[in-house]
Amino acid sequence: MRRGFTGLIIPVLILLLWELFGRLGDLPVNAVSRPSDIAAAWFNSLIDGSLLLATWQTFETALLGLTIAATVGVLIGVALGLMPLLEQVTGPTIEALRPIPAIAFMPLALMMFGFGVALEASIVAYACVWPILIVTIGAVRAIEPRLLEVATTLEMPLPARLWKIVLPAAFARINVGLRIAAAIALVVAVTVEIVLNPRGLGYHLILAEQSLHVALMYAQLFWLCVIGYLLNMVLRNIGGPSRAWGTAQ
Amino acid sequence: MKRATITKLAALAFAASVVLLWQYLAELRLISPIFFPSPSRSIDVLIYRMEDGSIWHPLSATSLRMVVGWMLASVAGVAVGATIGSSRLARELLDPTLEFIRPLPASAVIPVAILFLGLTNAMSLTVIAFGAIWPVLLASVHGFSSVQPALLDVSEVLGFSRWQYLLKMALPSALPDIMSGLRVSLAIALILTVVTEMQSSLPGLGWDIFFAQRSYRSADLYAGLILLGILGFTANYLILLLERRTVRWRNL
Amino acid sequence: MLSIRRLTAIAALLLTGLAGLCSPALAAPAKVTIGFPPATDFLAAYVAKDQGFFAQHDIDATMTLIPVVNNIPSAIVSGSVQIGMSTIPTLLQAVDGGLDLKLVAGAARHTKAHPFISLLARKGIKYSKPSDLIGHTVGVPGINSVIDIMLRKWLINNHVPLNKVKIVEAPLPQLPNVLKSGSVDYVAIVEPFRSKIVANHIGYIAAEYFAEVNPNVLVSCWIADGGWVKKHPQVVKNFRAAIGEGLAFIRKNPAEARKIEKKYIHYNSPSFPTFDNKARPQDLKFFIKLGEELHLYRHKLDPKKIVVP
Repeated sequence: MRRGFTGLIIPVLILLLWELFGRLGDLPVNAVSRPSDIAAAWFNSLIDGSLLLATWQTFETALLGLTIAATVGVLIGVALGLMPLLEQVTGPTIEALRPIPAIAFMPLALMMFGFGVALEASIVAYACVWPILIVTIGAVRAIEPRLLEVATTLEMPLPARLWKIVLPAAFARINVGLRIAAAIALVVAVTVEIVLNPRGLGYHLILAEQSLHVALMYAQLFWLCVIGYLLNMVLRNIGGPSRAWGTAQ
Repeated sequence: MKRATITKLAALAFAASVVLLWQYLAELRLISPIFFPSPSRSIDVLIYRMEDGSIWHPLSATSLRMVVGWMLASVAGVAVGATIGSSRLARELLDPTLEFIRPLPASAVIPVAILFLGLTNAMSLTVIAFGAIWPVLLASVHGFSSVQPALLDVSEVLGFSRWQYLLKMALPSALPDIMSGLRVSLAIALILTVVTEMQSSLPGLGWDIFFAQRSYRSADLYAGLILLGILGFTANYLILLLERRTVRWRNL
Repeated sequence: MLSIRRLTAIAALLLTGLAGLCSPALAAPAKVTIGFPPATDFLAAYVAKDQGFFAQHDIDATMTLIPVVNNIPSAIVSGSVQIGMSTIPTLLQAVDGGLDLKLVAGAARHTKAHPFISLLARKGIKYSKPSDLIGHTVGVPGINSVIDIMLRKWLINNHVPLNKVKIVEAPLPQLPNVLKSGSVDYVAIVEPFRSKIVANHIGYIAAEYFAEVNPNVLVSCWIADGGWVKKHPQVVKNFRAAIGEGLAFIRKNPAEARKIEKKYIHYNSPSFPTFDNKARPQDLKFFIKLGEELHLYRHKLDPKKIVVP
């Protein structure tokens, strides 16, 4: 209980100061709204269903892209982690492709898929696969070599080796990578919607901005933070809280 | 020695085959060349721009922005990560707020940044730092909170202050995690540099690519992407060298 | 057992079926996705959808609001949008870039009587003549956009050297902020932000530069993919007819039209522009000439090939 309250101190303080500045008239009203106005705008968009629909649309594509990236990233990452030679051969190509921003492929993806889920999911997948890949390779390489030797001594078949030894041992680190990727997935999905795709939260954000509903725009930004926070909480609990925070406490 | 050479040649061959695949797909014309040029056309543009010198200014501008933004993010990320990872009070105070702000996309933050900082490099650096801090932060928290308790005991016995503990024991222990976080942050810093350049017409590779796309000059666009790839590749290679050095030192 | 009754029944069924196939009334309406930005220029289309004119002309229209207009040509070529918005210069640049796009109908003209694109100065900046811009920065919503190239033409007409005025780009909704924060001293901007800047005391209208360069020019229009137009000539004609009815409605019921405007783009601009749904080759000539003067094109453009007759 106490832990929950401590966490709220800073946000509540910020909100109070913000509202105060707003009421004193110090804020540039056409660019920054008061928290009370933002709350009202948020409430209205919740009631009329538009917020939830947009949230679902964004979530849908982010999740799809993330799943594709996780599958591809973990599979290839495990392979490259277990076979250093393969990693050295493919490494330079991966390092050359990785820094190209996923959003740079938007025109291409638009031509291939047109507006819709596939456009966004493909960009999200491209953006998320690299961190997952890197973290997985690192995680597999960090596996205690004796564990792998045990697997060889027992002559375990490959699937069992992966499932029983490699993945569990690498899981904690892979999970950190997945958490980073999940945040990236949400951000990239919203970015694609801001720039291009007429669906989801990013699209509604731009609509609010262009129709000069500043309070609504900020309400949607806050909402983005809220769902991102909830998403991370869910992911953290999947990984196991004790693992994430170690034994320092 | 011979094995290493073979591996390097194989890596080169792999990369070359990817490029050939691209050339083949482009020539199939499944997608109009207006949007999907061949590598040969893109490289032609690259060479042309190198010859007339128009390549160096945007390249250096983007590189500089990326590095400075990344350094800001790294310093802040390690500092905050160290605080949170080693102090339960700090974690309870700061963690919820940070976790709340983290999901914000840079594209959504740019309008507010422009309002307060205008179409300036300061705006770009702020946005880059805001977005690139998270991987370093997360990794630092993980690294600092995974320090073996034995080290804490030892530092108490030796009478270390908190500062000395953090600097001499916790930081080296957390270094591998921090380094991997730094690598991811660098990649994000590059992406955000490009995004902010696109949104604010600051001279750089991002702006060049954006403008090329708008003017339907696809070869220029992909030439810019290739340059971005080279820039990112070089940056990543340099930080890998740094990572290997520090890890080697740590294992002594 | 082929009795006479069975045969008659089968024959009747076949005849009805044949009649049904031939009957035009049973043909499905054409599915058309219409992409547009939040601008009053396209009010006739919103009206046509709202009042059912599209449906009456056999068009099953899906209206899609697309905030970033640069994406519309790509969306058209990829098939996500069939008929989309464009400005004349953007259309010309896309055609010059190799896209097979055609001008289907006009939307709005910019006239001296009803200007909606102007040069605004920040409060505190003294403006009296075009040469006052020397040494200052002007914000535009897009380099090479119609707003930008008309600004450059205006500077040329007034003998202001282009290299002495800095023109920068910022996304349209952020231009008021950029002006206010001092990054730029002037903006060349379109409604509704034009009125918003004045209403919020950020700046004032310095010059009606657009109208000065050309007091009556078609500026926004509807475009479509060339291949699609070839396959659906009747749909194009129906689209124009529906838009025409939308225009007539606006003229007769301006108050009602305002309500529809609010519904589709969530704001009301202070006054209606001069609508015009006709598309003629001569409408393109002005901008082709201007583009050539500013070295925007790589090829010679033939307006007759771009306009759908």
